[in-house]
Amino acid sequence: MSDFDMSQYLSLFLEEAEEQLQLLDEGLILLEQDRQNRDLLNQIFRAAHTLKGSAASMGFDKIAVLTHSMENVLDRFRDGELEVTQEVVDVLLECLDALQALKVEVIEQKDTIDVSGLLEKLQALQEKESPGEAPGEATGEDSWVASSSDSGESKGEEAAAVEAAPKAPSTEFLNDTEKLVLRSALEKGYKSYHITVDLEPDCVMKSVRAYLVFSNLEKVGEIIKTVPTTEEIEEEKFDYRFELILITKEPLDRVKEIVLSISEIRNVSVLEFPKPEDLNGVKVEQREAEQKVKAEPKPAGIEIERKKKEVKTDTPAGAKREADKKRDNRRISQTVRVDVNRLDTLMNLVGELVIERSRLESVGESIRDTLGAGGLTDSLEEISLHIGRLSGELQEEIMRARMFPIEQVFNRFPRMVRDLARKFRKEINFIVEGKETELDRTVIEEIGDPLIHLLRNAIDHGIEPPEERKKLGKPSAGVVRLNAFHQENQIVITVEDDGRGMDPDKIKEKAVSKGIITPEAAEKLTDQEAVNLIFVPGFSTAEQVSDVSGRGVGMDIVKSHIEKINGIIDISTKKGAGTKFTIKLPLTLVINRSLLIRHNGRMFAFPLANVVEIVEVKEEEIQYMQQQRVVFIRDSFLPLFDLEFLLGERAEEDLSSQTQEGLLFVVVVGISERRVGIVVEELIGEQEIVIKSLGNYIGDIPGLAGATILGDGSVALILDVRGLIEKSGVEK
Amino acid sequence: MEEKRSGTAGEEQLVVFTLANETYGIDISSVNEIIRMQDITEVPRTPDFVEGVINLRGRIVPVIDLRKRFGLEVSEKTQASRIIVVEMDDVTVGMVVDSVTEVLRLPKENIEPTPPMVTGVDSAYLRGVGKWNDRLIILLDINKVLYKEEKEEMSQALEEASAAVDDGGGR
Repeated sequence: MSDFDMSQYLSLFLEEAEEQLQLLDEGLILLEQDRQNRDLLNQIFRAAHTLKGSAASMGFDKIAVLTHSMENVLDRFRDGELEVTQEVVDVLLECLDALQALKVEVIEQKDTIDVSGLLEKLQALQEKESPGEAPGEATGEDSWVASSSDSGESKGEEAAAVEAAPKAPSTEFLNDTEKLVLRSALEKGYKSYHITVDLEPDCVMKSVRAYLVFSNLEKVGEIIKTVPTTEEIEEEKFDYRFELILITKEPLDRVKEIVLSISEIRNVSVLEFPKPEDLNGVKVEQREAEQKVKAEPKPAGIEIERKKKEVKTDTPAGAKREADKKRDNRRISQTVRVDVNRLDTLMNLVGELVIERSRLESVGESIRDTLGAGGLTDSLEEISLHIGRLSGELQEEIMRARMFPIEQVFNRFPRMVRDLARKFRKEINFIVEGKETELDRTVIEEIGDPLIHLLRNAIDHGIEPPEERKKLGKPSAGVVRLNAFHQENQIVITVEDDGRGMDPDKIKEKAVSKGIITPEAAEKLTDQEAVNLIFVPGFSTAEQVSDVSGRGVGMDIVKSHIEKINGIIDISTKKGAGTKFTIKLPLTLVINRSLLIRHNGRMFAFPLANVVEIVEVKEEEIQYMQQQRVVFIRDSFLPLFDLEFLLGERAEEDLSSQTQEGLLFVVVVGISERRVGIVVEELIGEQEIVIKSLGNYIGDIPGLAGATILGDGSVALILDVRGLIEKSGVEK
Repeated sequence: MEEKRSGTAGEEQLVVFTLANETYGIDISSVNEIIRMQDITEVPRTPDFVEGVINLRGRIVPVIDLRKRFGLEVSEKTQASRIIVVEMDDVTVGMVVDSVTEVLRLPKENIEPTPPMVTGVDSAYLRGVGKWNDRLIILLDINKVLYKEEKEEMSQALEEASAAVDDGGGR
């Protein structure tokens, strides 16, 4: 009976809390701009109310008290007693921060946060403008605490009713075993009660409430039956009312008290089973008794019925909400929460399936070579093809299961933008698009920080102060636009502002003064090349870094962050008109299309995203510049390197080139503007590979991104082009 | 370091193998499996005793050469060569040995602390010596074998460097 798992409710609570906090956050920021929007206000109010309810039911008092006070303030908005101002919203947002912290506190099971300061602020807001009015209603007996007050009243009523007519409950719905248990308990001098509990119609997390009822009652006795069953109650498959049979030594009033101590309980009726002798063959009498009960002028049961009807039919809004809730419930029952590690494991298994599939294919090929086509060979190929398609689909489905909407990341930005805008005294019109775009969990985890940085930059450096904008003939509010969308097999995220843009000449100047580039080299740069200088380490500087846009992170870190997840970042900017950053990311980090090569007896994989082209170079085309092999391809010199040198296996370039009849295969790889040619012995082909880590024992090795297992079971090393280029020392 | 060992209270169960004509034993509970030699893919920029990685049923597992690890003379791999796959704290590593001879139960009273200069192997890798039918079995401490860091090598290098500096100063 007590199979309820509290931790399950905790995670449910946390999830819901997160959701409501997000709603509050979004809502408040919108409300600040759209101060008269009643629907929005109601929505915010509901979110606060829901959060309060669930926190109270879980016994997280600080959250409950804080949300309650927030609710009071929101209520004053609704009544028009308090104006929505930036100051008030500030306080409310501060409360949200505190709620977030409290949520963490719940997770870490600590109790360190003090909310009294905030409560005072809220109190001050409640008393603002109309001082004499608040105390009685808002501070004294809190209305939400009193939400159980009508059950308190009915408690009185009911107690009276019980005294007036001691009722005998029906044993009809008990099976024989249960009757037996009941009887033997009664014989031993225990009392048995039939308890009917009705929850508040707007009660959220009904099953939690039910759980609390059960767990509290089980402290004083034993529950032998519930209607509906515990499982159904746990799944919220009940309609605000449930019944249970309790065996205990406690008196009736005490039992009732225990149940009523839980909030959001509308009503409870407790009927005591008669002594065992009466239990024997007196069904008819019992029924009569029951009918008598129902005929009583004020018996609890009927009272409840009536109340329920009121709620259900009289207020269409309430009914609608209930319908909404039902829909929500259905949605919940259709999703399964899965540990991400399981998904990762699944993904790995599918990865291995894909590998075995390619083995099957290569075995099939050699069978064809030896046995020729026809008969079994054809069947084998057919099977291999089919398995290939199935594993491909499987892979795609699992990948999809790992996908999240980018909303998760985007949702925290409006608040951040608002705070920054205030801090820098800018007016910002923040537009977010493509929230629903889905991408891999691994990518989502990594993309947050770079985006924060870009947004901060846009607000701090990009958008001009309002006065300046007016002078320039721009609207005083600057537009910052964040967008995400799918493009082919990539995710594209853009961060755009209509601010002052970047000045290539100034960037050059600065780069020269920082010693990043020589004045002569700067002369030769195109504007685009000059702008790209901001990604060079050491360019973002203290003078540019305010405490906000800084965080010690320069654009070079943003770039390396994005490159770490195999993404690329581009800038387009126009002086005076704004800047746009475009980030392109792979859909997943687990599977990669690669170019396989063999070199000195080892297999290597180049991520195809970094391969610019493959060229054949004649030996005589190679020239030397300062001991560096270069080759002239398409109007520019391409430096050539030895793979062993780039991997750090050989200290010096091996200038005696590995040629095959005077021809060299050169894989041209690139990261943004930087290009190098890597001489390889043999090209094998393109293949989809599963990226595996080299493990903790070996750790990170510059130039390697991991390893993969090939169709024949051998291991190939995956090259990290970024690391290789760094080793080459090629700047651009 | 005292970790839980296999076997009943009075004995230890060991995997016994040979390396450069000496007999070694490691606690069986840290051994996952013993496999034949297979192709090892060399990994650049790793310490020289790391031979590379292998595919162990779809997992990438690093392999170290114990001879190299202990600074013994390097020899050709033979038919008898084996890779002992050990697992410690989530890390799986293969160790190349000359041959695996047996699994045996060694009474605890037969185990003695390492006498100095018992073998060519640095005693820091050892946790004792076992006697079995007039044979000596050198018991390895797997954790140290895997992790006795280059720290020490580095401090050694540092010492040498500072010694060199001192020499230079004396002149």
